[in-house]
Amino acid sequence: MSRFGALERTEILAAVLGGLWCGSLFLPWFAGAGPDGDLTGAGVIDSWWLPLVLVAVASGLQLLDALSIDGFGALPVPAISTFLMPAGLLYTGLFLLAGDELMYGAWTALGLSAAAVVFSAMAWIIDRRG
Amino acid sequence: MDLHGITREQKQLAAAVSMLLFIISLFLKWQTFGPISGSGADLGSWPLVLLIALAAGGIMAADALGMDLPLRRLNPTAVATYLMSLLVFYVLVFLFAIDGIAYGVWLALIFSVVGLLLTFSVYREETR
Repeated sequence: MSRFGALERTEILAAVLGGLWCGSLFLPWFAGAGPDGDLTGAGVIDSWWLPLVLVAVASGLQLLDALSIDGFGALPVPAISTFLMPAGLLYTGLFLLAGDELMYGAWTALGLSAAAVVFSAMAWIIDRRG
Repeated sequence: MDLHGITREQKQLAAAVSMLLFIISLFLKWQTFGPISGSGADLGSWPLVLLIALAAGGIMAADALGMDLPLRRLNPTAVATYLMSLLVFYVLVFLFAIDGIAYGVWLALIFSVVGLLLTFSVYREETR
């Protein structure tokens, strides 16, 4: 029998998806738009690190909460992560709407960030039900 | 000035007005670069932000006026707080990225933060 409950499994899944979104920032998002060819998600704007930090914190908290025996005690990790995770989805959505000649990296990022938000919200709902 | 004397409805209406002012700030000058300048509405994704601000402000105004919102089990104030936090994030992303920042960005930041603080204050009162 798995040592992880429904909450922990959902948190791990959300954390992995968030981590993969961070990686997808370095995939090509726009064809031929960069100085050396394709433009990555991190090359779109100088403040790319801001959503990266928020999503990385959300993912890290969820992973630690799922793997630790007592969790974070009083800290409502699923709620905090649900609050932070949409930063990645908004960042991706903003540039998908604004850009032309989208490449696989942008669509990958959109899918990963949307899935991370959904699983974070699911973890929060499971946590609230107790 | 006694901020504790402000009623819940007044805070909600003030938050809705902040969203209106945020929308106006989207059309002000966000960037000046020599002779070239651009507004927040020159960014390709501005309609998305406009919709978020309209939804957040509309929820606050409707709740203050006692209208029933079709949000089922969701807390309207929590939804509005969440949406306003996305607006703050949006402004910060461009604040850290744009060269030649103009007054429009600062106004957008002020209005989004004021709206968020007012809405969060209402949310705290509700959940206390």
